[in-house]
Amino acid sequence: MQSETKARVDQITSSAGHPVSVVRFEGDIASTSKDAVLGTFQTLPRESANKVLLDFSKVDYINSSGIALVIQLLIEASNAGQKVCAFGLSPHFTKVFTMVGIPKYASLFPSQGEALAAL
Amino acid sequence: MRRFLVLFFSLFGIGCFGWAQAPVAPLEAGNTTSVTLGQSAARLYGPWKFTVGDSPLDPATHQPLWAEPGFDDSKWETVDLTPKEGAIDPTGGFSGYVPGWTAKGHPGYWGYAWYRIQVQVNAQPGEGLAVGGPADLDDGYELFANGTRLGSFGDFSSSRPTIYFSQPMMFPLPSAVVNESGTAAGGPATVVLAFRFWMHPSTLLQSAEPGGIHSAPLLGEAGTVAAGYQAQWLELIRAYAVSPVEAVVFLLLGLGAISLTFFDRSDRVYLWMGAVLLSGAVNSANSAIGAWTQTISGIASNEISDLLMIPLSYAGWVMVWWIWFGLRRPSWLPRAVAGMALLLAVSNFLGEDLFYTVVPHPVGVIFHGVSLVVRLAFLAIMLWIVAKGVHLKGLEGWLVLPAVVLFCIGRFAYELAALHIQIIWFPFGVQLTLGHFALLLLTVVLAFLLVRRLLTSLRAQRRMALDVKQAQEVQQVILPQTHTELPGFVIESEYRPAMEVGGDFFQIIPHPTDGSVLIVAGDVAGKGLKAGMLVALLVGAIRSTVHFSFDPKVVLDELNHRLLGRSDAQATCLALHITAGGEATLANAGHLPPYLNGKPLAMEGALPLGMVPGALFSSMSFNLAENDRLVLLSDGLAEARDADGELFGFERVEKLLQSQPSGSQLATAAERFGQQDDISVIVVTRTAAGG
Repeated sequence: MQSETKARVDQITSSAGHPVSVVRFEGDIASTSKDAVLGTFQTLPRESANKVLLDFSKVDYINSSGIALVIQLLIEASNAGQKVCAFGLSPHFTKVFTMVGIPKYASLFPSQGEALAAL
Repeated sequence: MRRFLVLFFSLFGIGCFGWAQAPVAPLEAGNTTSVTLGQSAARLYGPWKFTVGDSPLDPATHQPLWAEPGFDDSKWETVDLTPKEGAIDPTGGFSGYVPGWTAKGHPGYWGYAWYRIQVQVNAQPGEGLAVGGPADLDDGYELFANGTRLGSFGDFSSSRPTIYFSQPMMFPLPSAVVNESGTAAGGPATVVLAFRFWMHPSTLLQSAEPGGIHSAPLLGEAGTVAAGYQAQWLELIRAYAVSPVEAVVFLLLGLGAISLTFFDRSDRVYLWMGAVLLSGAVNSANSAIGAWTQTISGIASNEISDLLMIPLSYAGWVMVWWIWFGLRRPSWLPRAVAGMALLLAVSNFLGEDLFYTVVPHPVGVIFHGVSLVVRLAFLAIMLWIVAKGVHLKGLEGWLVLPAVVLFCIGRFAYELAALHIQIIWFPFGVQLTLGHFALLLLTVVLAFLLVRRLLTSLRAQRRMALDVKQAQEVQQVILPQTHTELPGFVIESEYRPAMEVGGDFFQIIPHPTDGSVLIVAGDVAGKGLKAGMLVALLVGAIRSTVHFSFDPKVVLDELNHRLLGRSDAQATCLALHITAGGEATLANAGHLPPYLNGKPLAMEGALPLGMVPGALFSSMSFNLAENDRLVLLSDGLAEARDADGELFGFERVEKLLQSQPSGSQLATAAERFGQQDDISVIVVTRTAAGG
């Protein structure tokens, strides 16, 4: 039932003119998603890696292992001084992300526009 | 077109068939052969007249002029089709073999050519006559008798005929054709037989002496010719008897290999091996169908074999041994192998002239060279992989080595034949090539290795199943009872792991002296045995910690400390301490907050255990009054998913809690919806205070 995690990176520019990397996830995020989540994040271009958006709008399901991967990503970003925002989460996973303290590392937004404006 | 590649295994016991052969005496005048027939037939060894090229058509009859009995062929070459003693076809093993036109003054020639012979037939009145076409030939022909077309082997309806691998043919000789030329009823008749031959250019590359007739036609009484025709068919069936046997063996082995994935889904090698063996079965079936029927043309059969099955076979076997020996470096090798297989297919396409002279000959020669280089590269890669296998797995590598070496050498059939190295043998008339022996050896080695690998895998699975069962038993031991009554509390619990061993855990620990109780509930990230091992670790840590503190924050700090530094070891967890008077203190590490009388407690979020050292966990205090009901849930409940992927969700959970269900009812509701993760439920009910 679990579908493979896909991740692709788009490069956009914030309204302030800063380069921003958008990591767009697709499918389910679980223990097998390590390469898609952490691997993709670690290969972001240096010039646009300071500001990162995580797009969960096409993610169907995130289990506890998947959440642990997202937290790992955010801790790595925090340690590296990168600013990360997430958007596109369903109300269910917004609640789950809040429960596990993710908003301390990344603000959660309903849409890309709102997330981009907050960067 | 004669068959070149046929595979192994032999079918013995197909008998030979003989027929009476009448003496043939060449006449002095007019190159006419006199045949005296009883109930007999005669091989037409010659003298034949031969020329390359094609006949112009008679404007009146639209029939080829060269087929006409009166045509003057005296300026044509004279050809003798008498075979040398014991001569056999070097590729098919057929008896009575004579070299084709490329060995008789026309090297490199492909296209049309004509053979003519004039014979005197002294048939009895009413005796039916027939011609047996050459059973060994390149590649197709039309047969004329005294200018009348008797039939063809191959489809000559277009200028580039459709051809098949050599097969015996029999053509009745109409009495009208014979009588027209007879001098009197019952007297000798002169019959001019003319064969219009066609050879495809790709045939030039497939044998040493191609071109036209390789075994003399037969002429005689119809019954006797029919007997010869049947004998030739038996010879043909016997020659290629290995192919269908090989196809069946490969089919069974392939299905067997694929079925092994049901026993061990983690091992991809069974699927690869199954796919390669099934493609081998298709190739062998292609050989048999091409050799014995006219359902597939010779060119199509060669295309299937050389452009598809052989490149797939190379790539498939490389991948089989790559996976078999567990190699991972260089990681680009599978992609390189796919590229090489494609290059081999393209090289064969352009180098074998399968599509006429669409590619100039010098370019074709270059691609033939590329094909050779790619095959050598495959040989080198396979030998390298097997050498690695010898290094890593010893005996298995040594067993595979000779089979792989023979397999690779067998793929250089054309080149070895050109070097006059014998790679084809005909025991009992059955064609056996070096490739057959290689595949036979490979099959034996494979069967042995598959059984060995399966037994090893099954032993490992049995051990693993035993480990899981023991872990399950241990987990049952460390789980609290489903119903616990303490002074002032009734605690009910329900645990439904998603797999044999779960990653949810909880402990209910009454204080030894002050009447309070500590409840710790959590969810290790992941499922299965690994999560179960972490559960055991955490439960041990909880039990150790309560020896010195019942403080929920201390408990969580201690558990966090235990998980830090362990790869992929995270868990959400909450610790709840309730005094005998109902004062509750709760600390939470990312776990779903409890529901008090159906409403979730408002708690700040916090990181799970095992993420960062010195993590700050959220905490709160509250009072439990008499009949208050506190429900602790794991995320497996809200994240149950139905077949459409819809989540059970927090709203359904809250709605369900309004009816004050038991722990078992809650778990069952989620389980029926579509359990994905472990489900644990703890229901704490405050009874009469202090009592």
